[in-house]
Amino acid sequence: MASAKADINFEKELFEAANRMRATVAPADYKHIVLPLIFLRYLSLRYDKRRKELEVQLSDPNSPMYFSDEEIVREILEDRDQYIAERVYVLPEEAHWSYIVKNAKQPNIKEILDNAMKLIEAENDDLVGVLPRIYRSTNLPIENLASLIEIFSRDTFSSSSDDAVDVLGRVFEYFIGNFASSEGSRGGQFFTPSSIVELLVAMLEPESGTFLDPACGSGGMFVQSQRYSKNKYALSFYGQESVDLTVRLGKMNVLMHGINADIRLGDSLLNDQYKDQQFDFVIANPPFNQKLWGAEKIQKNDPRLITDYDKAVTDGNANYMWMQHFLYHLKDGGTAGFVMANGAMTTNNSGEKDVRQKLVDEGYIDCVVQLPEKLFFTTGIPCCLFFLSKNRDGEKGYRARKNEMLFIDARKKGVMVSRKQRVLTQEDIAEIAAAYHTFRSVNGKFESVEGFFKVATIEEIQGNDYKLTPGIYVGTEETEIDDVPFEEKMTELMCRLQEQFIESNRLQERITRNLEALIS
Amino acid sequence: MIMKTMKIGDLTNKIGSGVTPRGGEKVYQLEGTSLIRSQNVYDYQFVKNGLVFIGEDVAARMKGVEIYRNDVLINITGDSIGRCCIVPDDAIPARVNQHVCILRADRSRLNPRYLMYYLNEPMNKNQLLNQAHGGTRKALTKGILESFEINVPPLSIQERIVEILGSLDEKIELNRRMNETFEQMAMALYKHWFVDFAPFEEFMDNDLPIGWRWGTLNEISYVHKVQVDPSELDETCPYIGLEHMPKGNVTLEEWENSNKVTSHKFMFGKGDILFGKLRPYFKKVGVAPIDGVCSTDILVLKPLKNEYFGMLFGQVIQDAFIDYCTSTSGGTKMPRCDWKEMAKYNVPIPPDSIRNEFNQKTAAFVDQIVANIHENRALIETRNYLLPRLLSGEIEVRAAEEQVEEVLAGG
Repeated sequence: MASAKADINFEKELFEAANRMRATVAPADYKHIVLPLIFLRYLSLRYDKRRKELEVQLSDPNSPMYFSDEEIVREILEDRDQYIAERVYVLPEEAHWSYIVKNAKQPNIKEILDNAMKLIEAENDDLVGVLPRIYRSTNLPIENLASLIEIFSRDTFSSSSDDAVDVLGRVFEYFIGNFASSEGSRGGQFFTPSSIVELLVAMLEPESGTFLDPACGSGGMFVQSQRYSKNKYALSFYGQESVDLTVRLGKMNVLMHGINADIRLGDSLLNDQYKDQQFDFVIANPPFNQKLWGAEKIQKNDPRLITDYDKAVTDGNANYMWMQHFLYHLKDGGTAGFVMANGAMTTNNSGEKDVRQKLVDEGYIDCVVQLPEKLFFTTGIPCCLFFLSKNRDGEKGYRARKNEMLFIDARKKGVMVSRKQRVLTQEDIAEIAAAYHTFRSVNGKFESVEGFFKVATIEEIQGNDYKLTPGIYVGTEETEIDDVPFEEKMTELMCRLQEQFIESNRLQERITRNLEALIS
Repeated sequence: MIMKTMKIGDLTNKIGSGVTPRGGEKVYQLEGTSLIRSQNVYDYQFVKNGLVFIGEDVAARMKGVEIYRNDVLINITGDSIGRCCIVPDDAIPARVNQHVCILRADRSRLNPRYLMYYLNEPMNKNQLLNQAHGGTRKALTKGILESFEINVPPLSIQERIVEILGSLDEKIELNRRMNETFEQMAMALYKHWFVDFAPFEEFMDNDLPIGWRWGTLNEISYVHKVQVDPSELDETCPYIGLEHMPKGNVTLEEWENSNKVTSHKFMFGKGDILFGKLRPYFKKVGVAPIDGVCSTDILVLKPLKNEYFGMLFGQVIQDAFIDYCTSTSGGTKMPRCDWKEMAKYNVPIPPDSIRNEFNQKTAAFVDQIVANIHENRALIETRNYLLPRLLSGEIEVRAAEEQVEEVLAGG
């Protein structure tokens, strides 16, 4: 416990130190300067570790790799394959952290950094398009850049520290989250707080298979899901993101966490990079209530649409286009879980309600979870989770439930960690996930909990005009019974009233006397 | 009347505001020393709703802003700047945060209540607030308060003025407390009859007493939705918006003239139940004491027959019903409840005789509440009329002793 707290303090302190060097650069731009430096530090670290490993093996007379000839030793140490085989990227000398540190105070440090990025990409094919060349164009003063380099040169990040790689991965993630909380939101896009990601992942249980996040941002869902999966390589990750610099951050993020993910650039709704491909899982936090997103560019025969074009698409809100996108990319047997704005549960707008109606009637919606307010960093906006499934016919070990939906009202869950922000606790997440798992399970004994969760039939939902607000179905919690017996309560109230009557009479006399004195 | 003009600084022993304890909400406790914040300080009135408490250690660190009996409190920043009242005895021990300032009168020359009334007099308050500066954020500083000049008559006259105004305010406060008692009685009675079914002896299989049945809320009530164009309104017509409705209290004491109203409103009549549908968990529900118009975010509920009023009133103020409205409300940032859902709420419906008896009992409470509301409006009007005139000396008062002498002489 103490060490976990110490870790957070360390990351926080580091973030604050880095943020002090921001000068006049906008917070939204600053992360694209800072995060690649962490990544560079990481590349050097991995390289140094591998090199040290080789040195030990080459100099140990008991090792099969032992060589006494210094020439051969040097040759092996410089052999690219020795690194590539261990999934370590090759670093030219002028891209190495030690070179950058040595030149941190040089007037051409910006050029050195851009050049380092270029050299790394030239040596490593799979990093092409990942590293930015923005240092020369930024107006960050070079002294501040030097200070940043110094911050990331601390001992904790050196190859002599055993868990330096893990620490860097955590720092990178922590920085992404904190930049998100300081830069606000744009166009309904909110950085997904980790407790929501954890809940989605805990409910979906993605242990193996393919996994798509078509609004993947900096890859937070992948990092979290991989933590859940017992076998590190059992999940294959695919992502799409519309902002180029964010795609780069996402690629760095997954690399630093040892995940192999295919992240592609483009607008998922208008320029789908995964046409005709289906996945076992879709997990996403799409932008909320996107307006004027380009609905007119959707073709009438777009295979994602589940009802007539006129009813399926509206430029007023992209929520239901996203849902059709998710559903389309699900394999038979697959499940999608995603974050949604609350309005989607009840909207009556055309182009939205018809889709919802269709999703209900066709039995695609598995579960809706209403979340408490204030889970996001930068907005108090309340939201919900939707689960769509193509696995509701009683196959693959799950229960047949095509005529049923699970509603969970989690508004009372979570604890406030600051005046503005709430998080779901591990117990909350376990409790909500358990309700969903029981609902899906063949042997699950399901009992509704008044005010928390309930299974409703499609007929009930139709009877409620297709509204999906969990509160309508789960009812309200038994309110605590005021256990003062009626007689006692009434006697107490009557005594109080008697006293108030007496006081009232006294006051009335006093007021009359006072006022009369004014005119006498 | 002999008046002296003096600076508040020369008539007080302490002027100072507090600090917000480190740790924010985490340091608040269920009991302990009160931490008074600007939301507790209203004009003439200390509001306990929202009062928080701090523990011994925090209180000890804030010893410098300890509250004494009869301290005058004034809000010095924010939207509620200038609001001023006396700390009630039962809120002590207490500390204040940085938005509230303590003014501790030197009792040998200044009556604290006189100071409170003086600062609440509209002209004086304007004069004081005109000095509040601070760029985008208005603030009264210690310096402004210290050097603010007030007119003070001799102590005996101050005491007399305070007695006249104070007796009115005490009655206003008492009426509010009486209304809370009436409301609690109505709630307790409804629960006793319609939730616990305690007065009844024989039950049927559906857990209802014999002769009862389950119905829905729309079998006993409806929403009266008559829109009115602002141009058609008499400008003295009362207007009630959500901002006038208190949370968790059926006493609707505040309204304004509709002359500022610009959009369509709903009409309501005296005795209708007004139900705030925006963020229903605030429990803004009350009985209309007058005819008027209200915001379209307020549902005007009427019983289908007059005899249903008691049941309807008892039902809609139950916490379980409010919870139901909250859980079925839609909308993202500003959840609103929907009559369509509320109408479906299950209510027990008794035989006519029981319904009528219950209605009479409830109506008696509600009539008392409405009568007190009107009495309070009259009391407030009287106080507001007298306040500037008493302070300026336009209405002269004699010191209490003189009056006593007169009474003795007369007797």
